[in-house]
Amino acid sequence: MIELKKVSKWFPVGGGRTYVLRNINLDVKQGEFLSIMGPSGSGKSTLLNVIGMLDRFEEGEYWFRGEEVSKLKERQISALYKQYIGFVFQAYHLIDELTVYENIETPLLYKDVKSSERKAIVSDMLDRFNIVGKKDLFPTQLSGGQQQLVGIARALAASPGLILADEPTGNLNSKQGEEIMEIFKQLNSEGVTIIQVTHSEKNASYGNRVIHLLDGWIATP
Amino acid sequence: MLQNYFILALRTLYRDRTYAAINLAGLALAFGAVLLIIGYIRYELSFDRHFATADRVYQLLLENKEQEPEQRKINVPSPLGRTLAEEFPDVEAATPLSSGQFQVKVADKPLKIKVVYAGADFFKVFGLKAIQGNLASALHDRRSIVLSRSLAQSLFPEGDPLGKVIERVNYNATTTPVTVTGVVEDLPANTHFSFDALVPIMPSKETLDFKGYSALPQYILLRKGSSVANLERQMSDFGKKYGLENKSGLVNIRFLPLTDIRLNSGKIDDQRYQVSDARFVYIYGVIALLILAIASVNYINLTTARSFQRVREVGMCKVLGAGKTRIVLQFMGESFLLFCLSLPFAVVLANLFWPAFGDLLQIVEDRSYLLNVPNIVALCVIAAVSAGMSGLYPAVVLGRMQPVEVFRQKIGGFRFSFLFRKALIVFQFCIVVLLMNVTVLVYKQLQFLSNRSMGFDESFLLVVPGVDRTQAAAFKQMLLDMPAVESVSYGAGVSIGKGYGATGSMSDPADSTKSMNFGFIDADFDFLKTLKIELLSGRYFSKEYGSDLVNYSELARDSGDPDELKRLIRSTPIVVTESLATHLNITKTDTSLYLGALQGTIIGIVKDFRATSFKEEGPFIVLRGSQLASGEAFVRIASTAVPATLQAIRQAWESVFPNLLFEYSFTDDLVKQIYGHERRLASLFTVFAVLAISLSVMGLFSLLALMVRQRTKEIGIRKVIGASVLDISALFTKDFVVLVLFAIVIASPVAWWGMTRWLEDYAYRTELSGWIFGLTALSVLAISLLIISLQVMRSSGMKPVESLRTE
Repeated sequence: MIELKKVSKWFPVGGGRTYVLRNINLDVKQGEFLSIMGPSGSGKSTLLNVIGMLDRFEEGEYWFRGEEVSKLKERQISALYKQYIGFVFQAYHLIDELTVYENIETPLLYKDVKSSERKAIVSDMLDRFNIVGKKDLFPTQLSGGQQQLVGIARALAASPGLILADEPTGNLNSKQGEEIMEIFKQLNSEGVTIIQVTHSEKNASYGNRVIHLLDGWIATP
Repeated sequence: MLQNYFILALRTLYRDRTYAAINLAGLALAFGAVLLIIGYIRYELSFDRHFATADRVYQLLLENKEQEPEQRKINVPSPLGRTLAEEFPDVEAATPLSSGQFQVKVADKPLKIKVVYAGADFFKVFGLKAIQGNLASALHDRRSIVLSRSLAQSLFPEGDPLGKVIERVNYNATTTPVTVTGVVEDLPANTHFSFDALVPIMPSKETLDFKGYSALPQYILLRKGSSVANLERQMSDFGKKYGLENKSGLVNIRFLPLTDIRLNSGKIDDQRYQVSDARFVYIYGVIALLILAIASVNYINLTTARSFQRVREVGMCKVLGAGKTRIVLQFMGESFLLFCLSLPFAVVLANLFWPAFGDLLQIVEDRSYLLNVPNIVALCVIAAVSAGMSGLYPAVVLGRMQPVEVFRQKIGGFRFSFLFRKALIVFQFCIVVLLMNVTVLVYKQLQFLSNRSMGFDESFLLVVPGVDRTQAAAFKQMLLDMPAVESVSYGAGVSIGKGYGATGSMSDPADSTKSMNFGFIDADFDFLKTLKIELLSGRYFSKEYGSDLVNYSELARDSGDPDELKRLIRSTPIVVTESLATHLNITKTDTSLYLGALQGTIIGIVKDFRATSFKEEGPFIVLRGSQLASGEAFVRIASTAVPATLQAIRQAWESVFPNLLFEYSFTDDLVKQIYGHERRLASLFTVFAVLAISLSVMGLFSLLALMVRQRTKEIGIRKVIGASVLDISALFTKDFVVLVLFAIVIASPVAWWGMTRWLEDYAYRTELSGWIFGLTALSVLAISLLIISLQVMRSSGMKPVESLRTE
């Protein structure tokens, strides 16, 4: 499903280049639960951003579901976000002006889902993550763990086939972290492909494959 | 979806209440001003359009290009309209129309009414319908009168006014009965003439002859489907036929459309008609646009500066699948929402200020001219366009944002071109500098004009018009018997603030391409003393001299001998002003003159004085001695117990002229009114300059607040390292001061150029001195420095730990 061939990314610095990603070859199959690990600054988040088509790369090829990403138009990428990819961030990135309910509803609005159907999906999500009671609260009124639950619920509302999570438990305590990981594990068992960036061996152990990044290289393929 | 955006927008506004409020207040003020100006412009443009025949009525003009300045006369030969109607089938009807006023006596009380002297076809030409009476014949009889509805109601509150008789007071205080033959609806305020009643002008018996004629303003009605161009083509032949001087094609008969009279009367300046100038419509239109521009710049600056807070939201929406268009639409929607929210406030503000504004512009204060559907629609359209224009830039830039930039935690807003924002600030301050310069200069010119001496002492000098000459001497004696009255004089042909009754013109003996204009005043022996005009050489008219008591014009009329006539005219004593004497190189008195428009023997030279404004050069004044002078009585009174003196004068008047209405003015008031136009212009420019400054300051203030907020962390870090408050102030001040200086450099020459052109219209003008520009520049700098330091002080006063914690 995801195929990176000799992907490199750098920033020009002075006359030379600072590499963030070097010669990355990566294959992710449908239904995998991949964890990307590595020390700070090793390029984990950058790699995830490249996979999520949020960031460009300078060399190599990236094929997403049989299509070359560098040839995709912005409109097509938008469509992929709507239909196929859900993001979960360490900093949650909820929209502060919208309530929990409205945050979860937003991707459905972009997908032009009918009102009654939207209601059903959002209610389902609220149920599933046990946050029905919070639906009219604003993000700032929630704890970090609750915010991340909303973030995940929002990512799942559009029923994506791929979830990209950038240190989803980074700001949470260990109990909240475990809860989130359990949810990911369950989603994965339902067939959702998951790629997460994490520092924690324990979180990585929820997945079925781990890659380590070091200075932009993949250390253990 | 829409609802979602709407909610989001409202909550965004609510979260940033301060900025929303500043934005909203700025927009409300600006749109309030815009609505006022829309009201004014549409009022001006609506003039005379309410007449059913508005598109077919034309005012007749005689255009004389030979004269300098180019003159267009509305007073055309009285048989012209009638002759045109007789000879051209295209002309359906014609009527003279002359405004005036007279007194009527109602229940033994004199009442002054505004009248229009009109021809029998007046109602046909203007398409007016009768409320009562038969208008087709209402003005046929010399002793008929047609009342406006309001006058009819006040004179005859109950009962039918038709056929009722009103006593019209003549100049010699006798009365003539006139019969009410009709009642018409009051004309709306946006008509270039107005009346309480209409009285007939009898058709002139004379035939059309351009050599010598009595003149009246006249209007014609074209037949439906006729073109005025067709008529104009035939005017050259018509002019030749009737001896219109047209050797060089310089005198033309012109047709001015009725709907153009208000704004496009050009050089025609007749106080009796409510005419204005299209230039004011442009000037105020431009001011409205400038104010709008300032408010829009505020909006753009605040929105872009604030957008760093929205960047994360935009990034998230994009990751959730929102395309560029959606983001753009969302932000455009927000600006539309804010602009819409400001409109009700704008309408309330405009409504509040309309009476004051109308007073300044001397237009009607009736709110229906402000709050009508077309005005509101125009405001909404302007608001929508400006919302679109000022919302577009922030929206597009935010829409283009790549999500990864957001999640990399860079500060947003960096994408907005700094150059663009700086250019906007420069532009905004250019407008401020421009308006301030203009305001100061208009005031300076006003001061200059009104501080110039008129050449006579205008304080405690009363003017009492309308003296009946048969009782003039008795009235004068009664006044002189009062201890509070210092002196009394009759002077005919001079109307302070308005002009001279008798004028003449001839080509300048020194330079035949120029003309010399004269204003003749028929004054009695006390004129110089009463007005306190200084005599420079020779003597003034006096009863000591037998030659001054002779009625020369009567003698001349009786004498058949041309040589004798010439001798008489040459020896008529006259008193001239210093400037006239200098112009004609006359150094000693008793010089006898026989020039084109100036004849007589100069017995005295007085210091220059004038009755008219210093806006124009004004004619040379010639005083002629006259015992019969009536018209205006000038009364010099003591400076104490003025009300009692006025009361005594009134009683004297009422005992001498029981039939006439007592009126008076103080000459200093009349002189002040001369510059009413400049005074109003100065007030209006002040209002707009203050508005522009307030809006810009509001914008600058909140922009700085946002910039400080964005750099809170930086400020904290700098303070931890050891920066002083001053260092931090300098950080922000530098950039802005450069921008303001830049604006001053750009705007000052523009103001200079514009004001030089404005001053060219004045014969006497103040100096365009550099200090005006220096003063303006300094005050703009001072104001902006104040704003900057207020903001920066606040932020640099914070403890570093607070600012660092906010991250």
